[in-house]
Amino acid sequence: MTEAQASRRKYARIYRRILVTLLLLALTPLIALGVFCLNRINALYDEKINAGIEALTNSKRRALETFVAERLAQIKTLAFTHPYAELARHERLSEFFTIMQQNSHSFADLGIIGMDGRHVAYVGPYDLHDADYSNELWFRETLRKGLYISDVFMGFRQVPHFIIAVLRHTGERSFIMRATIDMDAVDALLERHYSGRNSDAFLLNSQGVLQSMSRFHGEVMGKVNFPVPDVPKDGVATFTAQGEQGRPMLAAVAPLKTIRWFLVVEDDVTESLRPLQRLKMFIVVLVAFGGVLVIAGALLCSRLLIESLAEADKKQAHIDARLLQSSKMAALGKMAAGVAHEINNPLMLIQENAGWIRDLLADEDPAKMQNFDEIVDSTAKIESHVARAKGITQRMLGFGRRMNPGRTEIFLNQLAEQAIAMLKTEATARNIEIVQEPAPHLPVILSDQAQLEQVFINIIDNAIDAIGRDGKVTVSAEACPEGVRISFKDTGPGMDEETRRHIFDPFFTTKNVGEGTGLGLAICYSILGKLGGRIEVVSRPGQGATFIITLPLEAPVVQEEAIGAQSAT
Amino acid sequence: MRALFVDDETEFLELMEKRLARRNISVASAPDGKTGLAMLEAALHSGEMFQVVVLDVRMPGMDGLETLRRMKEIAPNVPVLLLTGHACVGAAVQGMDIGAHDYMLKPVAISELIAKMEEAAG
Repeated sequence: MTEAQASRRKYARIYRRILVTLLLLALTPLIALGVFCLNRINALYDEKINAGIEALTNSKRRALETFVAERLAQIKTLAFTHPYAELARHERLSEFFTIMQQNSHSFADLGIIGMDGRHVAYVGPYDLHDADYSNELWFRETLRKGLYISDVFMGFRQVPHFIIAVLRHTGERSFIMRATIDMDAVDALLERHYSGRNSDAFLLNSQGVLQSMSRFHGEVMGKVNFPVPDVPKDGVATFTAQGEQGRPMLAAVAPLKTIRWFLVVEDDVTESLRPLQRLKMFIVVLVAFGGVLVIAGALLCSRLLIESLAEADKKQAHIDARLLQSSKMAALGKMAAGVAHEINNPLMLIQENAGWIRDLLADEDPAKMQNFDEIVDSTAKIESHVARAKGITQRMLGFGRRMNPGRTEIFLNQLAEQAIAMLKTEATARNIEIVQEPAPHLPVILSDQAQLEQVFINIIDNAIDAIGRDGKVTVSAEACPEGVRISFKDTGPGMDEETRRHIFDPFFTTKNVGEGTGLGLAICYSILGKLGGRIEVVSRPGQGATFIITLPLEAPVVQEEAIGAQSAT
Repeated sequence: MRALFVDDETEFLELMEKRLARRNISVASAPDGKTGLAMLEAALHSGEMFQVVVLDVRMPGMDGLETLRRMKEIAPNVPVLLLTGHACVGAAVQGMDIGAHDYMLKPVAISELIAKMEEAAG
């Protein structure tokens, strides 16, 4: 895995971590809020709607119970306040029935039945005088309990009705008073279309058999398709039933007290739930929109963070590299100065000894000395090599030296011209063209003329050496935010990454042994550092090299103490 | 011409004596600052003053700059040339402030040295 891949992965990992954290932090409360709102709204609506249907159911129940209780009371009052002899007379019974019907048309007929199950007297629309009820359930139940209210049945008339029967024991005989009550009155009380909506109200017995007509569940005596829920007396239970076209209906069930029926009220709540649905939809859309915003924001944030992080890392790496180079230069500079100093003394002795030999040779007669010429020649070589070594130590000392740079006004175009002029002969001899691009609006800077000239010469000289023969060196300059930038572009072979990394190291050279000291660019680096500037190189193998130096408008002032400190050693 | 050389490198002193003698310059050598000062004082008393002093800057014991300061106290008119293996312009500038005539960096060519000595001696 390359370094670049590793760092990409590192950034991808940080990116994911930031993204997940941001999303969690922002989405969790948003979703929680949404869910909470929906739940609360549901609960509030349920409560409200349930309360509504429960109240309605209760009021209907009360009406129904009152109705049944009144009928029962009427029958009982009649049966228990009149002697059998009076009730058994058809004319009297007819009179009573007429009075009862004046108050309520719900009574269909009225009869007095003896213990043999046969009518003693009967008032009603049908001829039931010969009917024998002795084997009927209601008859036996009435005998057993004294009071009986039947479920709805169609009877001989094929009209839905139910009966109320009461048993009275008088001294001499017992009889049953039985009244038939038509469901018309009950139906009226049920008020199915109570609000003009898809509502329903009906009665069921405990087996789930319809005791009244239902809008959605069929005719009387039909069975409903849901089980009758268990409801405590006086209570109301709500549940969801299937209405027309499978629409959900809110249903409430309440048992009646006086009669073993259940009142069921159904209401299509779709209509009343519509605002709720709209509100819920609005919340969902709002939360979704917020979620999208949050996700987009998190993505953007993470990307921006990562980008600035990468940028900062890059800058830091750049600074680190520069610091490393600076400290390397400082350490090597110190060492170079020390080495140069130690070498200069023996160099002087070598030179003086050679000089002494030369002095002595002057006394000799060349004809009498066998190797006179060789000795002279050798001495000259010693002197020339000392001179070379001296050159190196001088440069090393210059490299390690810390001094206050001069601050004179410098016209960089002129300076470049001078430097180029100094190297013109050498360049022309190698068929290398040195071009200075005009830079008309260059600011004048305050810096050290001599040192800058050395930098220019070193860089151009280096470029000439790099090209070898036939090529071009282009010098250009421009103003930049930090001051002035001067570029030296050559058409040489360029350099690889490894060379580029060490190009400013002292004693690093790609030239043959003896041709270069490896100090030229290191000195440039060192000088520019002292002048508050810097040098960089852009190069690729085969594509030449461009050295870019940046100089501040004013070179910094260095404290004098550095000079004293060094001179004392 | 009479010259006083002060340098801790005795081999260098020997060579200078020999080489300069051939060029009609008599050289008196001192291996350290103290000796150099004593010799200067002796010359002052004897009346045969040196025309020039060549002084190494970096020496053990009393260093070149200190020696220079004292020499200037004893004989302010004798020109002193500083010779240093240390290419520190700062030390040279300091020396010039104290009263050195000029300075040279080691290794220096003998012709150059003689030229500087003659110039200093006037």
